[in-house]
Amino acid sequence: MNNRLHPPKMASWIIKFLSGRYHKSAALGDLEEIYYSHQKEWGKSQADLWYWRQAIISIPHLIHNRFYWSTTMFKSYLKVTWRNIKRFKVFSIINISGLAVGMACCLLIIMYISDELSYDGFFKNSNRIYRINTISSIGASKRSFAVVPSVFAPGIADSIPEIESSVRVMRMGNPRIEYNNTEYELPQLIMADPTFFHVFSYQFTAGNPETSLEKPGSIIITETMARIIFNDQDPIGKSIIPLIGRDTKPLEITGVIKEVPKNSHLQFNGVIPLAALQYMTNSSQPPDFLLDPYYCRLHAYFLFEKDIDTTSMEKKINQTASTKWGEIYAQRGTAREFFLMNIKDIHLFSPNEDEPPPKGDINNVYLFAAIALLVLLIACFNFINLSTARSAYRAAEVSIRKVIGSQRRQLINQFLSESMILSFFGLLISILLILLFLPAFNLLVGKEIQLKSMLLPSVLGGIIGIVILIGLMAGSFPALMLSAFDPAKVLKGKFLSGTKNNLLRKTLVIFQFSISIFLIIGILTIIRQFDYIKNKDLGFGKDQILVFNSFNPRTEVLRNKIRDNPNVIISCFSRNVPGVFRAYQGYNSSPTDTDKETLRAYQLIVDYDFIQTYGLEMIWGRNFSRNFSNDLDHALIINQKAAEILGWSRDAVGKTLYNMGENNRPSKVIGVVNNFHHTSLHEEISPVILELDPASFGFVSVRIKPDNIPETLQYLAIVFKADQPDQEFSYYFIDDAFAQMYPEEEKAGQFYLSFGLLAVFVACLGLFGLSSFTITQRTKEIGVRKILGASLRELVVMISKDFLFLVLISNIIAWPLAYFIMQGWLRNFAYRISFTWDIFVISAVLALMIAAFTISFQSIKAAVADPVDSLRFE
Amino acid sequence: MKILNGNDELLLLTILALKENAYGATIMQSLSDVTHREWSIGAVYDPLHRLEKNGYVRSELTMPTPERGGRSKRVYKVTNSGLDVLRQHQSVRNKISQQVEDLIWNNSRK
Repeated sequence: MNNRLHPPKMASWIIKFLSGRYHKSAALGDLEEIYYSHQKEWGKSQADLWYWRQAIISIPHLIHNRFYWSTTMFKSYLKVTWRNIKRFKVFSIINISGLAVGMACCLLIIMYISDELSYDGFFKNSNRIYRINTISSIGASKRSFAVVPSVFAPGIADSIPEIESSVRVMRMGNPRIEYNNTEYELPQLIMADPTFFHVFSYQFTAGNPETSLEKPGSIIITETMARIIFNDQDPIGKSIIPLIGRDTKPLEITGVIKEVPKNSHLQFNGVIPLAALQYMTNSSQPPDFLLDPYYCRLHAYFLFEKDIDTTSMEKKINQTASTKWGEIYAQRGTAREFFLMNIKDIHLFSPNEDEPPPKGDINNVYLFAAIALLVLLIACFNFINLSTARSAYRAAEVSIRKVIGSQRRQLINQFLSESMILSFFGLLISILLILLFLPAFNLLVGKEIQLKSMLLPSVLGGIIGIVILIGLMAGSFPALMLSAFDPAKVLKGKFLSGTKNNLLRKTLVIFQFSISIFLIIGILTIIRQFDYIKNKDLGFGKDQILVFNSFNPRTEVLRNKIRDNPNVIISCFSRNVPGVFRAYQGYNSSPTDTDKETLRAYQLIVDYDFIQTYGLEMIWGRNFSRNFSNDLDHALIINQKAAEILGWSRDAVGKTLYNMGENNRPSKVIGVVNNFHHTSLHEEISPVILELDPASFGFVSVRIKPDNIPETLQYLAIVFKADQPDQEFSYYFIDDAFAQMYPEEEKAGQFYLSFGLLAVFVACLGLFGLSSFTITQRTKEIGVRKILGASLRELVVMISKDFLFLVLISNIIAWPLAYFIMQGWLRNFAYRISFTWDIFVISAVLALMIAAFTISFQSIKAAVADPVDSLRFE
Repeated sequence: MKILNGNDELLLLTILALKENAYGATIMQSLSDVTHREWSIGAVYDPLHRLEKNGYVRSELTMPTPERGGRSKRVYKVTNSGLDVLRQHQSVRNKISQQVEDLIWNNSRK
């Protein structure tokens, strides 16, 4: 037949695409046959229409067909997989559980990371909200803070049009609240400009966001607080009294907001306007601190009209700031620079010293991600190894299928499907594990991750990706291997021990153990470093030093009462103590000579007994003394570090320093004290300057004898209560306080410990399964040797030798890596341990012991077996 | 006894009726004629596939022919198993039919 016109290409493409291989050709053929006959009868265009109609009507049927076919195939794969699991029970359990543990770890960490990355992203305008931060330079030292001067934000907002709105926020601690004659605690109150809720889109359940902070006498609380105080009544309009300061007036509740999400750097349960203080004290002026252009006291945020270029905006802001307040800063001896941080970056990237906990660190996130990857890798390698090993047993089955005539494609499909199904089983079990262990994990990392965060797209994507990836990788090895070989060879039994397989297996085991050893070294290092920090000499001498807050400016009575107790060695009063953060002061050794070094020192304002109470030693010069009346306003004691920076030694005594924060007020150095720690061991000891104020009273430090501590504590409590009846006696021990300065590191340490152990566990699982496989292969050999007279010990050694050798090699790989990375971590601490060779040796020995233990199950079982059975083994 | 879809039964009967000439195109046309409804290619092949899986029909690919654009034809035959099922259905229908024949043909309100 000539002059044939073909059916519409697109329509036939639809059929082609949707039909399975089985029907494709025949279906197209059928349609064409009818098409041509229609074409003759009705002409091309009608025939085309008919063809199109056919194609479209067939679509649902064809799709249904595909589904049916795939499901049936799938059901058969499922059956075979299940049969194989039952056939190799122990093996399969090890395999799947190893994978499940690995997946669970990885997923938990992914959820954690997801949470960390989500901080402060939930506001409507998160992309346009920035916080302004301060970099303050005194001399050569730069420090950055999250706070700015009170006049800063409004001043800048006026001059820069791109700023849509600005808001200042100040933390007010945890005051008590009184309502209806009952007191409640308000965990974290903040003060803010009325623009607060315009910038931050917190959800209101009652009240108007735009106006709730307008009246100075208003307060907004969270739903939880409302429930605690008012039960189910409507809180709006009711008045509560926050007990802050001496003058307290009731504030009216003008709004209730939903709980502040946990993943936010700004946590609070109540908000009052900045104007509230003035309102409550009934004064005509706002409080001084609100007008102060120099001291940085509160947080300030800007909401920009649209997305900005951070660098150029910062330049503008710095220029404006310098014009308005540059002189004031210079007078005080400080150079100030300001920088912007988008609120989403605050949690992880903030360089500031004064961020409230829990402080996050992007490096932690990277580290955790690395660990997740490592654990997953180990689990993966396990899975691949064990699957490949087991697939050798399937060789017989495969050969028969081949002989019958399975296509290569089908075999590959089957193995891949089996592998994916196992991988999926692993996922199911890992989800079970996550359900079980999520609460414990939350405790470990101090978060409140919820199950439903598993449904986040990022997490779900991760899960699916991992399952598919693992399934594919594990399945492709046996799939490709088995489908490629010659069936005859296999049926003769030659397949099981191929050198290529062995190499692969060995490599994977080395990988796993390298990672495990690396983790072990890491954990040991971390434990050592923490130990070191906790026990390091802080410079205070051996006795216990107890510190508590005191609020009574008349200190004589308390002072004497404390002394009366025989367990008290000595005590002192001061405005601040080591470990409590206080601003740094700038000191100049010469106000006119700008070449000379400017000193930025941590300032301690103390009484006569401070040095003795803290067990400090005067290296040069003398302590403050009542014999010298000049000491009261014109004497300074500096520490060794300060002297070092100024280039002084014994000659420091008698030199003059000018206090730049107080208009260069001069004072003489009367002594140099030994270095002691005043902040966490993250930082090096910096210069410290002690000034004398015998009337200081904020902190009481008591050096006590180690016996009868509970008695002493009781005594102090009674004495305190007698002196200040409406204050709470809350004390702490200095060494405890310092030991608790590393909550992040402690958490991280526990984290590494847990997951490191898990990783090692999974690696052991893998080794267990693998050794069982290899040993089974050598059953005959073992049987023969036994008959020939080998002792139990000789046999076990012979069997374990190869594996232990692999573990040794893993050591060699792991050591340099561990060294490099742990050195990097240790650099976080100004005071750190140095690497000693014993850590490496211990890890190696540990690894060997663990490996030997794992293998011993199988090796002993094999060595003890009856040779007769071994020789019969097939 | 094994129960067949009405659809499936129809297909089997059609294939039987077409004797040696039962393939996609003819089955399609025959069914459309008898039921006065249009059967698409998918509507035919989908159930046929299932029937084949269940063993009620078997198929063979013939040589390609130019009328079909150079493609082969898949010819269907009912298997013994399929015949069995048809017989079962028929016998059951007969039993019931005898009882309700009147009702089906002569159902009028009295």
